[in-house]
Amino acid sequence: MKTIQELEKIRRDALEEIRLREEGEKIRVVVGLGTCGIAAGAREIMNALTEEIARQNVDAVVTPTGCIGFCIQEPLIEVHIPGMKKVTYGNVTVDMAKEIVEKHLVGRTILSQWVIHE
Amino acid sequence: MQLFRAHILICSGTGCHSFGSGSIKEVFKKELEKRGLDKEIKVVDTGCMGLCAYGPNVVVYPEGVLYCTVKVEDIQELVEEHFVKGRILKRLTYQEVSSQTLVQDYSSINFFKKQKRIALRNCGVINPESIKEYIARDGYFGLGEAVTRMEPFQVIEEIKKSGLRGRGGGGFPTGLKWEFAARAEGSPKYVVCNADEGDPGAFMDRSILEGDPHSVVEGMAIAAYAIGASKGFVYVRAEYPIAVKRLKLAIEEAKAMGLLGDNIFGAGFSFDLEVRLGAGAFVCGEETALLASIEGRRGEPRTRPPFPAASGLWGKPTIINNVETLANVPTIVRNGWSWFAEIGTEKSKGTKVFALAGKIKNNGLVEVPMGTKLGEVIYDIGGGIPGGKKFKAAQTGGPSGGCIPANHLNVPIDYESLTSLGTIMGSGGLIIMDEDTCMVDLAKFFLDFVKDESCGKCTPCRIGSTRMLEILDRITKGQGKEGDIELLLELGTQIKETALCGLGQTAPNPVISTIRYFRHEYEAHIRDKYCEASVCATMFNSPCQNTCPAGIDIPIYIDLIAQGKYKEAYDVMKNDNPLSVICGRVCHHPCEGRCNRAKLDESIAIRDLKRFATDMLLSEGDLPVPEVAESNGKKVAVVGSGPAGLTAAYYLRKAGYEVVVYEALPVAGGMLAVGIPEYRLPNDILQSEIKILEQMGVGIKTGVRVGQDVTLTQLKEDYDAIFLAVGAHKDQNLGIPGEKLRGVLSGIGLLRELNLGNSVDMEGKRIAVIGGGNVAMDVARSAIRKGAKEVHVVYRRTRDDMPAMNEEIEDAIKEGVKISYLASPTRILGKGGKVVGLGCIQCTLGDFDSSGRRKPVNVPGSEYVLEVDMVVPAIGQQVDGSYADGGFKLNTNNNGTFVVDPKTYATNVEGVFAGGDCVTGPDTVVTAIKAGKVAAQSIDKYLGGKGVYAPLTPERKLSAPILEEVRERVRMASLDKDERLAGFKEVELGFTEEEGLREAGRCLRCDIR
Repeated sequence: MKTIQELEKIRRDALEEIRLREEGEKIRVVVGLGTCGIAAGAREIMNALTEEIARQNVDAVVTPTGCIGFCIQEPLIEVHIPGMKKVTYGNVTVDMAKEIVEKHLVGRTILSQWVIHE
Repeated sequence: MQLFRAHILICSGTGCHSFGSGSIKEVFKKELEKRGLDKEIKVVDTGCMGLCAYGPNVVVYPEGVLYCTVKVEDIQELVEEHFVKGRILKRLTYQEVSSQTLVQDYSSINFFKKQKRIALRNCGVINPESIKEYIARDGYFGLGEAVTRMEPFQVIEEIKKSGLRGRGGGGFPTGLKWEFAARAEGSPKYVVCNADEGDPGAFMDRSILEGDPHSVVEGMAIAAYAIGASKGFVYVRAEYPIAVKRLKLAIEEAKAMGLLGDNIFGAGFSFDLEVRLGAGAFVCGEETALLASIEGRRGEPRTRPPFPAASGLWGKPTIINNVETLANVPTIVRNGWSWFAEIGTEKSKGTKVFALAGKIKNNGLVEVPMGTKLGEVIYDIGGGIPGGKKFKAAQTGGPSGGCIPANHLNVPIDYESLTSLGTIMGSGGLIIMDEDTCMVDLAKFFLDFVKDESCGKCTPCRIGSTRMLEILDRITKGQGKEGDIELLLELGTQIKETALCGLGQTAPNPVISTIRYFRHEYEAHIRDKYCEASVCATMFNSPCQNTCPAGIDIPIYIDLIAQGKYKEAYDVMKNDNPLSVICGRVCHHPCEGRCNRAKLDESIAIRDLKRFATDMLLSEGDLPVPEVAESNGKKVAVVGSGPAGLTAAYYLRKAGYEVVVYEALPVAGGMLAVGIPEYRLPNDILQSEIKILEQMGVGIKTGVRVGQDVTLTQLKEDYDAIFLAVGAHKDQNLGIPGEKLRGVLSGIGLLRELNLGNSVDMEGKRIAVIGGGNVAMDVARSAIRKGAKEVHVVYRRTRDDMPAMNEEIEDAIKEGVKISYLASPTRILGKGGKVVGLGCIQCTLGDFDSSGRRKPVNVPGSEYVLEVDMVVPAIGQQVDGSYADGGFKLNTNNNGTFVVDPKTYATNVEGVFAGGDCVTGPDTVVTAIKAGKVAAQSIDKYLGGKGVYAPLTPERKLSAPILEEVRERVRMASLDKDERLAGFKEVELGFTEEEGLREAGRCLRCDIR
């Protein structure tokens, strides 16, 4: 270890690994992981969200939830951004998931064409 | 880099490890793999989170949900629920002690909320075996800051200004110690970390090394830079294998990254670190002994000066800091001294880690700002004392420290405050003791420890501690002598003044401290051969008998019940308690609180068994009448026919005295007759036992008020001795406006009217009862039976603080009584001279009072009105002074109770004795029985008798095998709610013979050794 900058680089990389455990108000993306959601492909959506969030370096967490009763619209995801209203998207695909991260989580623009409930 | 949506952190500290966290981790991994979740969810080992009592602990991020006491069998369900379905598995979350509610979110649990974590900041958050995770949490930036941007003297200045003091116990300013070493001549210099944690019950250092070893490595490196050392040693006890392993790993990782070794951060500073294992000698925690041990010599202390800062390892300047001290250093350097100095008190800065051990719910590790009140640590963070027991004392500083009793719960925790109470901060062991702890035995435990651990180099410690232990041993075996306490103090003082090292000098502290605060316990052991806590077993037969004020030989009568010998069982009870039928129904049974069976499943239903035996006899007809000795021609007058008076009359009459009991009320029994409602103690049951006394020839004159119908002076002339047992029947006022309104009736007055058969109209009324004792419960339950529409009990503290028996509170709630806790009456509202409401104010719990309970404090602006038609204050009673006449003057206390000799119950007037509530103030039935028994013995002695009472000496042997498997306590059947409310029928129905025999069979027979 020769410089603080070197240490700083290690910290940045490592921080990503423990980001989930840090305190503070974070963006939450909730994925419906009931039987209906899983059958509709929610697990792939969840993985896509996790990857995209890391790629875009967003301070957000992805958590699963059970069936919310609107099985016909699965996969369903809810986006909770502190200070913004909760938005639910239905029939989410992997591509949609990536776009939601980019436009909604980062850009703070609601993709109203996919919204099923605000 | 692999990405995970969730992390499962499993505590792998020694506590959780011993609960099986290792296999938990493996099963988690397998289960995740099975479900294809292993790419999404990461399992991480972490250090101690502090809630060791509920281990193994598991925290799931990102939600931060804490799962407690996780077992291998739970994991499948946990993974299914939490990670597949996304639902929190509530049954495994932490249950808040105070509110009994389940709390999911780790950070909103009271235990964590009130803490401030500096030394423990990474424990339970990072993987201690990953240097990267440590760096992610700003690790090694303190070192980087120090060596690249600061001169060594600036680092020392920073630490000095921060106010950091040694956390190993002494509290010496850390910066100053560093400065001494930095200025000292000599090279090389050394940095030593003292991780030889040895105090019983203390495990802070272990947890830091296990949960965040890099913080200590970094702290040492900063210290080395500050004093100009290039070599360091961590002296850690070999009994900490996990800590040693992680520490070694941390050193390797740091070396691999160039954070230890040569030319760190390119600043020309080099530092190398080695681990040295201690072989388990307590004395090696003393710094000079520790140094000797590192050098390979025998671990014995030497005199100081020279201090190690001048001449330490191999005669070179050396600093020795404790683990926790060093763990604070990196954060101080990173955040700056002023940040640290803002935390804590004037002279004690920062935080302190405590290992909470002993009788406390949240056993574990906590870190609080200096200045936090001891009571807050014990109750808010620690969750209080388990099993509804009372806090007695807290021990800090281990064998070098002392205890803090209940009346000092407001003490702010810092070095100076603890010293002024005669104890020390110590390394952070905080052992909580409840009423079951004997303080003499505690002192003996610590002294025994010190005696074993004394290195033997100096005579005061080697011989002195042994001699002190011998004295203590004698005292706890009932062989104590007058003068032993003084001898202990003299020896203790000499050892303190003459022992060579810190350990020897502080060895007598636990003894001196317990004598300071609990001298009465020592005296009871020495003079009365009595151990209040039922610990010193050579002085009693069984804890239940030892706890019973009347001293009934409980295991013997339970054994007789188990054999179906009810008459014999009754005889055993009766020898020590002539009111056994009554006590079988109304005793507050302190015996059950000390029953050893509770440690296995539940305590024996001692009171219910007593009732069972008497029920069996009563079902066969009248109770047997004991034989009465031939008249000795001496006469004794007993004033008052309550339990104290009746008991004294019984023993005196049995021994041949002529006894007349004077009772002011139209019925005999005192509070038993007019204070306890019919549904708890039916009158015919009470009278069946009083009848025995009459059959024995005791004269009972009801309706004769002494002081009015006959004077004490007259009695003094007519009788050879007088026993005053007039009780405490006078109402106590609330002292708030409106007490004179119609509809305000005293609790004890109301019960008296009901018991005498006079009508009190409560039909359809709304009633507020003020108080939290048995009288308040009795009034409330009677009111419900009398057809009251609503009954509110207003009590200013919490349920746990209520003096009423728990069964009574439960029954009251069951019967429909509403209890408002933390509410205090402010005024009684009236209209047309009649009560229309009770003004109340909400309270909150404030500081601790001298009894160790929290004081209720009014919440401003929280006044409210309870709309009621009747207000019944039941806040205690006083002694009615109207018995006295001009003939002679009895000494009384300010509250009107009599002043008596505590041993003989003799008053200041010759031949006049007193006992019961009129001496103690309102107390329990069995306490009054004890008073009557003691008084009878004293009166007999005074009149030259040959003794009225002798304890039994039964043969103690098993009549059946002891049942050691878990067996539930038999619950007595009771009336259902409708039947109860229909009248005053006895609520509890008694045991069937099968139930009684089954319950009696549960006794563990502690009296057989």
